[in-house]
Parts: sequence; structure tokens; C-alpha cells
Amino acid sequence: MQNSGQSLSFHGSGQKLFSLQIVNVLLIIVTLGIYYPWARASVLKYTFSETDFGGSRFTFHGTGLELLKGMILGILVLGAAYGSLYYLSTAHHPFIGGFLFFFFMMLFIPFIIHSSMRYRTSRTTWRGIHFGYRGDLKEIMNISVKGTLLSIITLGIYGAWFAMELRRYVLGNLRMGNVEFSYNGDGFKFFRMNFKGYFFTIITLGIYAFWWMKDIYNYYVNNIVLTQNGNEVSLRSTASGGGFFKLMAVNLLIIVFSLGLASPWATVRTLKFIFNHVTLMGELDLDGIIQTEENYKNALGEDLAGILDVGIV
Amino acid sequence: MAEPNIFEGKLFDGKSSASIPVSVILYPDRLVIHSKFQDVISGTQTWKTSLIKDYRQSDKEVVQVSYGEYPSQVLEITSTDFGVKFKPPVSGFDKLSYSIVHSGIAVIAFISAAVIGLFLLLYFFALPFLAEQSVSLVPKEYEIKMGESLYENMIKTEKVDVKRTKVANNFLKQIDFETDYPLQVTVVDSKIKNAFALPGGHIVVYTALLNDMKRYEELVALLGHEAGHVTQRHTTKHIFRSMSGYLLVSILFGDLSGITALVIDNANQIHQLSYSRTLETEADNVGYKTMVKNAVNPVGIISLFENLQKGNEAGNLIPEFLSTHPVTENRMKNISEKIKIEKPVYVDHAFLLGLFQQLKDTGKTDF
Repeated sequence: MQNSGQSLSFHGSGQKLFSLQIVNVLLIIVTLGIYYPWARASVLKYTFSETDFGGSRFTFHGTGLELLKGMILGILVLGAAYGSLYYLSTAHHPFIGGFLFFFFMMLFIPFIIHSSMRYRTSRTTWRGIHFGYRGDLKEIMNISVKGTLLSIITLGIYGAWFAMELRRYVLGNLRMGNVEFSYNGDGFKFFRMNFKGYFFTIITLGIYAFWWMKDIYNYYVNNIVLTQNGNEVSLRSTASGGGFFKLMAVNLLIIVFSLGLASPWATVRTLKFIFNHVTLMGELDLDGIIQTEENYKNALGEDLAGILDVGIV
Repeated sequence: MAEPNIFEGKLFDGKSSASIPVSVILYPDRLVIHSKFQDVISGTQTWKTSLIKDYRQSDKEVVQVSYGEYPSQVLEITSTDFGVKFKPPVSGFDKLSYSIVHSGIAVIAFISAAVIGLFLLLYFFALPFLAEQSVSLVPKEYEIKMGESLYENMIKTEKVDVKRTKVANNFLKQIDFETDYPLQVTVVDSKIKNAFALPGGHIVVYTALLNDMKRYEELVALLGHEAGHVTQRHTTKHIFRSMSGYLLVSILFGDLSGITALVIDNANQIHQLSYSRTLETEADNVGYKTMVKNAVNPVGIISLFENLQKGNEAGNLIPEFLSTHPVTENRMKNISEKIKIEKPVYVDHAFLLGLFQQLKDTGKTDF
């Protein structure tokens, strides 16, 4: 397969993002926090609209109101869970409380991944074509329960296999119209890579961490395959360890010396780095992508993911 | 009426990603779109500006307009001129945010200054006030219950000196702390020179600190100080303060990257540390009042400080009491000045002295 020149790129500017975020902060303060979901939506809209694929931009159609609903529901559900944990702990059943809470989280985190994938993909378009997520809630819960328990039993070793299985499942159900995504990462290779990364990082007093980061990033990207009408196209990352080092070191300086004020510039640098290092090996028919997904209405999950900080994809 | 403006663009019909070259005529209330592929009649559509679903303008003058029921059609026009002339209906917050973001560097700079000012104002004045107010809403019974369960959890892993705990409680009962919190001391066997109070009334004293006490006034000073933490609800206040600070910081900066969060979180913690110093001084003052009220020589506070500082100089053990109690010099000065000015009256308390001796002796026989 050849590098086709079809690639992703990010065109945002730190100055625009800064303006957007400073206005967001102002409105959040003035509205006593109510504006928060709108702020989130505006940042998503901005970053999506500055991300280019094959000459066209992505669009995020989600609204602050949708995110607000998700956020309220999320706070209620999590509040109830923490509340009952606290109640059981004070009522001298800390063990039962802890167990129930653990069990709840084991099912709740896949639920958040599921619903936020459903929501976010449905609100993302490229040339009017909607992304879609067709995963099944029960199946992802099974993966999560099995993965969590096996990870505990194997003292964390199974974690690598769990992470890969989850990624295979989530990406395997992702699509952009009739372009289907799949992920081919393998638990053993991922484990070996992390094992090596961990020890080399210790031996080199942390310097190897950037190359470890590069390995993980490349492993995530290089195993993604896009299929359109039987035509398979895989992604290729061109990120290097030195590139990661430069990105992180400069970002750190930008943020620390501006006391965080200049962090939008750091964010833009990171997005540019991530997107500009992905190319397609092979060629998609960019004019022949067909709309396949139904309309989807449900915002729960989108902001829950924000609260719990679950990284998706 | 002004002459219509004509632009070139790309239309995506919502069914596939194929781009249809179109020419667009912009009217004040509508867009008329002519396809260049099909015959003019069937390839023409009119989009009413008021019904436009979504509208986006990115840095490189790309304007995207979505129109119609799901799946929407999308029109892409690359033209600065169109971006300027096209007035889409954006509502509420979006409109406000959009107009501010596009209003130039001077306005943004002014807003940045205003935001930073507002944030500082909120963080340093409004939040502490609100946190203080909410603490008074927490019922005392709840605090006592919370302290009790904290105590039970903590004491499981500690070695309680039962005999000395009993004597210390007798000592405690001799002093009037002017509070209805159920104060209670626990003496824990430890080489660390430390003492602390839990919300609701539990005071924990480590044997290393007791062993180094020279006079009973020191113990009165210590108990007075710790009781001050309890009656002034310092733990609850501290929790409310750091939680509200954390909440504000994470809401305002939540969308930023990990490093920023780390920098700001640390700044927040450093600020909380200075708050805990304020609380220590407040507890000192309460302890001082307790001593005056009970006619105990307040010099005990000074010699307690000296005792603690000695532990610090020895350096072989970590004096935790001091690590959260910095600037001891200032605190000593604060109390000695009070003594100098107020010249409080005190008497000798033979009974307290007796109990104190008993406490020290019980310690010796244990070794």
C-alpha cells in the first residue's frame, strides 16, 4: 500500500482557542457555572472545524443544552452511587458498600464509554456524512467485567489484553457512513511493548518515556484499518520519540512560564502533532462515502465521560 | 435592493460524500443554490436563513452551513467575503460568544484581564465566605458522627495506651473548655512527636510528645489548642475550603491539559496550606483563652512550642506536628505578646499537677 496523500491535519490557532476559552471562563463565572456545557460544546465545535481530512473539515453538531442534560443526569447517578457508598460506610457496612460501589463502577464505566461513543459519533460529520457507533451495551459490559476480574486475578498483567480487547470492540463498531473502522492490536504485543517501555524508562531515568509514549501512540494508530466496499486502507503514524520529547518539553515550558494562561497554545501544538502525524496507506473513495446512520438522540454519557475522565479512543 | 452576491461553493447532499459544485446567491433572508451538474430547474434550491440548522466558520475562511431534516445537507464556501456578508441566525450564548471572540485583540485582552481579576476575587473572597457560611449549615451531630467513624477507622491501626488514656481523660475533665462538644483524649504509643484533633471532639496525643513535656501547663496548652480546632470546626472548614477551591479550579480549567491542571492544583494546595496556618493561629488563641479562663499559667503554650522545636532540631524523627505547624516563631510571638499585654491571673493547680505526674510515671513504668 502506498501513502496516498490522504491525511488528517489540524489548522487551529492558539490565539483563537485562547479567545474562545477566555470568553468561556468569563461566561462560566458570570452564569455561576451554568455555561459550562456550552463552553465544552464551543471548544469541541472549534477543534473539530479546524480538523481537515482530504480537504474537508469535520463538524461537531452537539449543543450545550444536550451536554447540560447529560451532565445533570451524570451528577445525579454518580451522586446516588457515592451517597449509598457513604451511607453504607457510616452504617458499619464499609465492606458491602465498597463491593457494591466497585461492582457499580465495573458496569458504569462501559456504560459511559458506550453512551458517549453513541452520542459523540452521531454528532460528528464530515461532508455531511455522520459517524456512527453500533456497539452493544451488553457486550461491552461483558468485556469490562471479564477484563476487570481477570486483571485483578492476574495482578494487572491481563490489563494489556483487556485494553486491546476494549479497543478492538469500540473501534470495530465505529464507522463513518459506509467506511467501517477496525482495530487489530494484540494483547501480547501490547504487553511486551509496555513491559519493555516500563523497564527502559526506569533504566534511563525517565528519558525513554517519550519513546514508550511514541510506541503506544503508534501502536494505537497503525492498527486501525478502514474498510470501504471491501477496500482496506490502514493508518500510519509518522510520530517519533524525539517529536514527542520536543512536544512535551516545549508544552511544559509554555504552561509553567505562563502559569497555565498560555495552555491553549500547548493544546493546539498537541492536536497538530497528533493529527499531522497520521496518514492513510491506500486510498479511500472520498466522494463515494454513503450516509448509513439513523438519527440518534441521547446526550447522557458525553459529559459523564468528562466527569470521570474516561479516555476514549 | 442591493445587487445579489454570487459565490462558488461545494454542496454535500447528506446522502453521500460526493461534492456537487454549486453557485450560491446570497440574499438577506435566503440562499439560492444552483447545481452546476444538473439542469437549472431541478438543481436549484432555496435555503431560508432563518431555518439554517448549523453554521460554522473556521480560520481559513471556510464557511459551513447545514440545512434541512436529518441527514442535513451541507454547503461549504471558501470566501472571506461570504463570511462577512452572511448573517446566520445564531442564538443565545453562541451569538454572544461568537461576537466576543471575533471582536479583536483589544477586547480579548480586556476580557482576559477582567477574567483574571474576577477569578482572583472569587477565589480569595467569595469562595472563603461561601465555604464559611456552608460550614455553619452542617449540624453538630453530623460532625460528631463523622468524627466518630474517622476515629474508629484510624485507631484500628494504632497502639492505644489504655492506662494513660484514662488518666489523660481525667486531666481533660478538670478543664473547662466552654463547649458542648464531647471532648475525649486518646493516648497512642508512638515515637512520632505529634497530636491532632478530629472533628466532633476526639483528640489524639502521641506518647513521644507527652514524654517530653516538662510541666502540666504544656498539656493544658496542647489540649486547649486541639479543643480549639474542634470547637472552631477547623477540619470541616478546611474540607469545605479545599473542596470549593478544587471545584472552582476544575470547572474553570477542566478543559485544559493535564500539566495545566497540575500547576493550578499545586497552586491551590499551597494556598490551602497558608489557610491551615491561619487555622493554627486561631486554635492557639482559643487555647490561650481556655488557659486564662481556667487560671492556668499560659506560659505553658510557650514551653510546649519549645518542646516541639527541640524535637525538630534533633532531626532523627519527623516532627509532623511542626510540618503542618510552620512559622512557630510567629506563633510564639503572638502568644507572648498577649501574655505581656493582658497579664492574666493564674494559680497553681495541685490536682492537675498530680494527674500530670501520674501520666508521666505511667509512661516510665511501661518502658
